[in-house]
Amino acid sequence: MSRPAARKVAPKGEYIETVRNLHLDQHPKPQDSNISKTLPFLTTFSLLLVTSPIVQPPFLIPFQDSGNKVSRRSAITGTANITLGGRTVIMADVQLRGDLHPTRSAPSQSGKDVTPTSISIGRCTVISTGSVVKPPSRISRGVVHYYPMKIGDNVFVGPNSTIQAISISSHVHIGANVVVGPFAIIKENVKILPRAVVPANMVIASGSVVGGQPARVVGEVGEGWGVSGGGGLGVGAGWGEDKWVEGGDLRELVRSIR
Amino acid sequence: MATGSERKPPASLSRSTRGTTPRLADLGESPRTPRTPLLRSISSTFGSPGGSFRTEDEYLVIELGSRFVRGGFPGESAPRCTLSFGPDEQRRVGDYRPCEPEYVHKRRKTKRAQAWAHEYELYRTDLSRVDLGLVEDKFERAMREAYAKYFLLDTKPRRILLAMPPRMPHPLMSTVLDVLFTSFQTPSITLVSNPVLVAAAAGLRSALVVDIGWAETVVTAVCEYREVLERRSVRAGKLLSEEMASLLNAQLDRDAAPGATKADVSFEEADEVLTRVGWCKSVPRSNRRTLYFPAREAPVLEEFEDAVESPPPTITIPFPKHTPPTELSVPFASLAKPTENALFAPELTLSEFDDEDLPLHHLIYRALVQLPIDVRRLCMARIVITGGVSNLPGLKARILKEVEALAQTKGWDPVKSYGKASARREDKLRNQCEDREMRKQEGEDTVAPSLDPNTAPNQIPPAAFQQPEEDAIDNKFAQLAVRNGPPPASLVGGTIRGVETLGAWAGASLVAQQRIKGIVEIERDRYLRDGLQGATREKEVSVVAQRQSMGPGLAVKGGERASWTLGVWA
Amino acid sequence: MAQSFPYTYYACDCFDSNTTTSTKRASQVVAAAAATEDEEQTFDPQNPRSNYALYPLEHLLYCEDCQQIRCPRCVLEETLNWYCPSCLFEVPSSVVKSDGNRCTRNCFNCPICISPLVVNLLENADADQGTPDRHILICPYCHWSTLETGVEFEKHTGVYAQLARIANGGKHIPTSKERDKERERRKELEARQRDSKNPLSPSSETAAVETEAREPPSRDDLFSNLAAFYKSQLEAQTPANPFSPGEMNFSSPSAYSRIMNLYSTNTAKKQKRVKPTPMREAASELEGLVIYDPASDSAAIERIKRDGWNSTLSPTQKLAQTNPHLQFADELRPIPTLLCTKRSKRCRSCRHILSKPESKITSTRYKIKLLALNHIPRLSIRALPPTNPPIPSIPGGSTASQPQPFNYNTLRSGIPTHFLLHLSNPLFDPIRVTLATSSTTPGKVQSRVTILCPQFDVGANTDVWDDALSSSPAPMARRSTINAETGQIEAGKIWDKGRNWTSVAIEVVPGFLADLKNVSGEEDGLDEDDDLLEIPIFVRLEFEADVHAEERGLSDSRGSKAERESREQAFWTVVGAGRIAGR
Repeated sequence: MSRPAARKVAPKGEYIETVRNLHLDQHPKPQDSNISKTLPFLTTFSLLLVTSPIVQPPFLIPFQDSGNKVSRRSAITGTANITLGGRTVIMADVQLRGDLHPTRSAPSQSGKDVTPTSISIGRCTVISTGSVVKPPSRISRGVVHYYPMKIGDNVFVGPNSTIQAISISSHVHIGANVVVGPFAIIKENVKILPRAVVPANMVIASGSVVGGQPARVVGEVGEGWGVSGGGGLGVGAGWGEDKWVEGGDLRELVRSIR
Repeated sequence: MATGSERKPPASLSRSTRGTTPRLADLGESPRTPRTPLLRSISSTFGSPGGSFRTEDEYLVIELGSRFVRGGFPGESAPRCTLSFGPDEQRRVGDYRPCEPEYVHKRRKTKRAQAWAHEYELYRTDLSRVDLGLVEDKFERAMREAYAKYFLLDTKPRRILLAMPPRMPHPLMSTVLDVLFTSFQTPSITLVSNPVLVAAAAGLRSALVVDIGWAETVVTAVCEYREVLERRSVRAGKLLSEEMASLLNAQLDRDAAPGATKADVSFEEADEVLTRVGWCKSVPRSNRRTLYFPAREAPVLEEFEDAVESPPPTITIPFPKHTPPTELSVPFASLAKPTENALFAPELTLSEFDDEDLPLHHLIYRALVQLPIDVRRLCMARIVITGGVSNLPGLKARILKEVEALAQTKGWDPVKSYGKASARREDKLRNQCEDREMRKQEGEDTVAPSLDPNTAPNQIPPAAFQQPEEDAIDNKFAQLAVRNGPPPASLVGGTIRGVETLGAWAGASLVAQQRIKGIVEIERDRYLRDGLQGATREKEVSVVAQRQSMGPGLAVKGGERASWTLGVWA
Repeated sequence: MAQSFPYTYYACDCFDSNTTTSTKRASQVVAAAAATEDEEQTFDPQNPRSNYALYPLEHLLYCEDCQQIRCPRCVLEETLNWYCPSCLFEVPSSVVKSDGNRCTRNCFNCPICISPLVVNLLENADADQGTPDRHILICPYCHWSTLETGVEFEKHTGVYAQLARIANGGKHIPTSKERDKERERRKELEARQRDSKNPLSPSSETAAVETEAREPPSRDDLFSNLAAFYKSQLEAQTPANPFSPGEMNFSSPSAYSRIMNLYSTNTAKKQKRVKPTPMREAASELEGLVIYDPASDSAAIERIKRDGWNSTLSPTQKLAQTNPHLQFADELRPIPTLLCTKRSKRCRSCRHILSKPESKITSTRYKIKLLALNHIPRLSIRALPPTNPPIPSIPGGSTASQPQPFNYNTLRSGIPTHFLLHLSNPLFDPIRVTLATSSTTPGKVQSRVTILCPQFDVGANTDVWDDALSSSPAPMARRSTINAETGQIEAGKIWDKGRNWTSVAIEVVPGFLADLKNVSGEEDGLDEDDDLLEIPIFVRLEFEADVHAEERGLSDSRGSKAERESREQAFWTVVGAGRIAGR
């Protein structure tokens, strides 16, 4: 969806768009040609996106939708340890702490050391402004161990949230200013209300609405959670023409962000 | 009739639920304690076993109160859930305001036009101001929550044992029954009245049940599981929390900076203070000069009571919802004042009270005085205090003491004033009192002499209680009775004694666990066809008819009855 | 509302068409009559009852047979399976029946703040000396731990079972069997004492023995005592009845002989000689009778005096406990996590299944799911700011250069504000929509509302791919315009239109809060949500549909042949346009 021309957004190129299915690793040095577009910026921060090829009807995807969108003003460390599933948006001032990765790297089958993954984010996930994503850690025998964090597809993380969950499944909507404590597990189709504080180790079963400080289950999402009625033409919670609903497919939202 | 023999136990218990108009003549004619007639032993050959044959019905036990609904399963000591009806329970789906962090710090505006804590009630008995549709909505939502979150039932339909206060208005009853029958597909509902269940949960068959509830205090005399007398007073939880709120407001205003807006403590805050740190002085205060009081014990106790502690203990109560959030230090002693004022009203003389707002001790005393003498004997030794407010520490002791004091000073004479002759009567009373005191001092007997001649063998003969002549045969019978009959402890009467109860819900749970069939049993089909009008008009279904209906002819369908009644609620 | 503005609620029909009851009392009949009158009137979102009738669209289902919206109130639920929301293990129904509605593994919630507790190993300095490890439950949020109530565990698994045996302070809790045994033992003791003594003096000695330094019985104890007492009483009453209501066991020989007795007259008669004792009351604590003892109360009073507010429990904390009759913080028990269920839903009137999730716990898919979303148009409202075009604000993406988004929380009284009502059609048939609202909103604060184009058409929905294809960014020509001079929007024309959506303008003049204050003469004349601008809108649709609309897509042959019928649907919605700013 293009916006009316009069709209003044951030300067052109707020987002760096990475190409789909491109695999970057810092250690095995990038050798592919199709990253050339992103190369200049890769020197400062390399990003790797992976996962299986995304099967999409080709006509659906305009050129700029093919990849992730990462704000230039985001602070991403340890990019080698971060995987983005594709069409994922990382907004300004987001901190992705990929440097906090598991120290005990598991030897791969080939015997070669594989870069440990610390944060893996699925497709069409949006991490909004000012959020901090930090893998959970545990201290054992005086040593800090980090555990890999996994975030699923179509997850929305509201602005200024802090995420330390061990796992967030797909179609999760996290409101603004939420704190998700270490090792929390959030299952599918969960809504976390703004300013909730999810305590450490909490497991949120799928279909719950949680809120409060500390967060507790305060309701259930309806059966229609994430379903945008009218063939994808739902109007979201009041955001102009955005064609997306909480917990639904975030493709349209991702597309609209630029 | 004969066929009813196996049905006896259920029938005897279930008669309780009937709560017919008291038939005092019946009660009076029984020689000793009134009790259900002994089991007539008739050969079961002619009886139909089907009468008591019950399929494995599974029950749910629900207690309906004006501010709470409790629900659970029979045989469990505590309900699975206690659901309240605060405004936060009444929001729209998708309105999650209560879990916003600042919600804790905001005092909810109360609707001005409404009575105190109106929005926390499920219903009130004054139906002129009740939107029955709203009651239905609230109850339906609460039950839905109970079913979905706490009962977690499989698809099998469950019967419901519904514990309800007696004297429930019919529109309210049908509202509640509608919800249970239509939304929850209950095959049948058994109604049992609260006082009976409270007595059952105390292990008693007769009791004076004092239910200090939300809107009113109900004193019910239960004799052999049957309500015989009922007295009410508005001095109950609502008044108490209002008193507490005014106390807190006064304290907050005193501490507040000048010019600040008047404190307006919400019901939630007042209620929390009350349940957390509210208490009741267990000894009556000193200013009961209007009443004659045994001179010997009073001063001692009061000295003890008024012993000044230094510094006087205070309780610090946080008020996060106040603007600005504050902490209030309240003298501990003053936290007992609301109870005092709301429930006992010591400042007022008896003539100032209406019939509807008698202080609790007078209410109980009056109820006792109006009972027939042998029922009174049973009931006064079985005062069961229950209801939400009764959990206030010290309250039960206080009530019992007050009632005892009243009984001592006034005796059990229904006539309040003898006019000119009252002086003589007072003399008499005083004499009696002194007698009693003397005997107490001698430490002869804990059981009051007036009850059981056997238990008080050798005493100084006062008034009517001459020492009976020893009779060997009597003795033998008595011994036999003790050996084979019920233990003497279950026959105690005549003294003021309080008995603890587990509450109406637990009583209902016990009753349902024993699979006792109630008198008021409403089948779904019949109800949906006729509503409450379908009940027989007869309040008093005679036991005979009852048994016949249980008999072979109708026993086929697991005790389905030809007609049903509303019992107490008719 | 916690939902951010603007929002839309849908009213389910069952709000006023609740006619399930056969008999209503006269007063109710009158009320119903009033209600029918009301039907002509506006739905009142301020009415407390409306809270029970309004739902967000995603909570509503749709019964295709009844062709009606089905809200959570007009469905019947059936439990498919049970699971613990914390450990996500499925619990079989037999266990739910026997062990209750709580997780019997290691899942507990904090009794103070209800966040989940974790098992921690206590530091064990003497581990070398063979001291066994000790574990506790601790709350990661408020740091409450079972140490505060003196409970420790030997193992880190099976905490539920361990906790069931440990009372606060570390004492042992007897199981129900042990309790029964103990009761029997004590009863016997008592009976022996009674026999050995002169039975005529029910003297203080027995009482003394009874009360020998025993703690007051817990509610559970009392309850089981009472239950046992009643059971024995009932059994005593029905000695010869094989169908005693308590237990029925045809397999036991005694029951068999009793049944045989029914048919042999002489034996039965012989047995009848025993005269049963009448039912009696409980006589001792072992039978559940507890005489009121003021000592515990005065102890409680002393305790409050000494320990103050913080040692007591708030009502919510009490109610969260499995035994709500607590008063002090040291009586708290960790709360085992409540189980959850997966439920299917049926229409209450026609019993068709409306939604049925897959039974596997891990699956979040549905076998059947008939959403209202797919059957009734989605209505939404948003502000039409004076500047044009509307500003789309990206959630959280508000960069500095973006203009201020419209603030729904401060609507100005008396100043006409324009909103857009947007209606999108999920049906595969074009619909004709009529919107209706009263000219002023109900409630204390009366705002004037005008829908500028109350009647319009909305195109049919098409398949997703078509949508994708047609989503070319060619902006539709606006059908209605703002008059540049007056700032008025042309009435009678739609604002904008897409393939299956149409938007119309609505003009609102928010009412005055101040008026109200003056009238009542006092400050706080307003209730919590009186300043909300909520507009009830009645939506009526007319469309032609295949008779077998529900089979559409399944069999084309049928669909093509089916004749068309015209249908109509009507419902109330409430749109929350914002909050009026006070002054």
